[in-house]
Amino acid sequence: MRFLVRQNNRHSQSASGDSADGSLNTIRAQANDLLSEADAAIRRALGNGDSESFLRAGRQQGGQ
Amino acid sequence: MREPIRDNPPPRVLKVSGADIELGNFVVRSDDPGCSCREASRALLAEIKGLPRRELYRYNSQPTNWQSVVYGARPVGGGALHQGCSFDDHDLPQDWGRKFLAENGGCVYIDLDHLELCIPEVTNAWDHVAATHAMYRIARSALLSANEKQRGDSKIQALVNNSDGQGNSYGSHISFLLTRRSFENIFSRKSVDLPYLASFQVSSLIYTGQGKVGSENGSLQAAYQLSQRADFFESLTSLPTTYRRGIVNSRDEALCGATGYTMQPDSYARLHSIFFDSTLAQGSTLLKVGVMQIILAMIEAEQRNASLVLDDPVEAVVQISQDVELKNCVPLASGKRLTAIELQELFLQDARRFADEVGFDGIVPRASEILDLWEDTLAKLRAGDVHLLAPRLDWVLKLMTLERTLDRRPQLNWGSPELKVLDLVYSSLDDDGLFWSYQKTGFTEVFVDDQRIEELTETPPDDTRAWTRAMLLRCAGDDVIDTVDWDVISFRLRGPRYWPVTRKISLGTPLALTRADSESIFRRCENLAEVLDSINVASCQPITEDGTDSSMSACQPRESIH
Repeated sequence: MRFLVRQNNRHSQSASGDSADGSLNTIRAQANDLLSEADAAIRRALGNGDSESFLRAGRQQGGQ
Repeated sequence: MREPIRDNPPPRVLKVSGADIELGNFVVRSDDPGCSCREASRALLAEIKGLPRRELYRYNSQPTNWQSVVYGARPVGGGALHQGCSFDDHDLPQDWGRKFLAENGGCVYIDLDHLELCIPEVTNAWDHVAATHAMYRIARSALLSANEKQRGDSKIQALVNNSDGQGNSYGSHISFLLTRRSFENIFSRKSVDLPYLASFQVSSLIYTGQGKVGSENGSLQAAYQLSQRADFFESLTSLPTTYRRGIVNSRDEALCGATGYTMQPDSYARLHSIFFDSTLAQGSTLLKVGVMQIILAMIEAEQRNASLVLDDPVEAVVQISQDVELKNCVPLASGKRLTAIELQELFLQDARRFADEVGFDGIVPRASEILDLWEDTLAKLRAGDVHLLAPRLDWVLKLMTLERTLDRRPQLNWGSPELKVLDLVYSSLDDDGLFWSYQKTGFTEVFVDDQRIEELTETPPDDTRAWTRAMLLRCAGDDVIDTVDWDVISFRLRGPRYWPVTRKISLGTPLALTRADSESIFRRCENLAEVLDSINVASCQPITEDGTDSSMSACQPRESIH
């Protein structure tokens, strides 16, 4: 299980009252919609070809 | 000479800030995976309009001022300046091709093959955020133009990050204005100030980190950590910035003209902080700058709390960075053990008390809003509402991105190169930058509006010397500008006979020659020579705290010293 999912579950278990839970769930749902829109950017980033050659090209000089 | 007995309350100064941000830059092409950062950085710099700095520093052919050469710092007192053989830009790999921007008073240059973006001086954390994003826009525009000129399948990448994941780190530095007395306290006098500041910085990673996949530089293995830079700090304090980096950098280069090098307690100094990550999320940047302003204001007032000092900040920086669950305790010098959240809560508690008893008025603009945001962030971290901070904090947003990817692609794991690619592309300035995708959807928290960011791409801040710098650059143009630096501009004007006349304008006081100070001069004068005459007069009439003339030396700080 992922870290943020663990955090999320832990919070849900400790939250008291239905209304607090409800509003939190609404926020989560809204956030999820927004995140879904950004998922296209993730797909593009991973669809651009060979990850290893990208990382090799990304090697930098040390800086300050 | 020893400083006289300190029987007055410590002087305090508005926490003006600046930043210099090195980008990761390289060319992606199918046929050549070799290091291309020099090519990329120069292609980017070529697309940014600015006024070149020429031969600002002249040295002997065998330079003896090693600090100036290695760190780009100026020799104190000018004793090492010679009219001898000069280094041209090609010989200063840490300061290549510097250009000051007539639009906003900032500058750009190449530092060890990284394009470096420097924001103009600003007085508050909100403008720091806006100016930072303004410089990102300028760099993005350069990137798009440079990529139009690339041939074949070549594409330049520019990343707002601090590590390539292969053992190379590059900085994102923030500068803060301090009194000389406070600077001396931190580095030369007081036993608590330095470890107090280091302990604050180290524990602040829980809201200032950009997040990073993996670890480097001999640190323990980690799937994900809060900070880009944590793996690269090897000492409590240091002068070097490229190796054996210190949590608190001791570079003493005020960039405040001659007054920056006097040892008068109320003269200026600059804290050059190399500790923090580059941040894109406005919340991370606002907290990074605003809370540092608050902590430095407390240190300057000589009110800091020795019981908050970590036992081993160098060890703690990695422990805290790698503790994504924010549960591990680190030892304090007192023998106690606290989590980073608990330690930050104690810093906050002291800051609240300071706000009530002493106050931040005139020193940290909008301090109460910074304190509220800090408190809210810590409360959410403590409550386990970390996911609610994804719109505010980079490390959480990046982690959320990576975990969503892992959930949707079960064939990937934390060691997969695809995750490292996402780590890097999170901060890309190009259209593929993940952060900007979140921003476009409205997911990220907004603290400064788009209009203010756009303004600071085209105009300087009104309330610092950056305003006059930008106006002078606009008035003069390239053929008249001889040299430019943060605290001085030199002009070559037509002389009465054949030879040109060199005129220098000191911008030694960051809070003088603001728009309010000098706009009327630019409106009134008909040519550059008149402007320079009037500015010289305006900048060298010292005014004391009560507004009366002073017989002290010219160009002293004015309203900024409290």
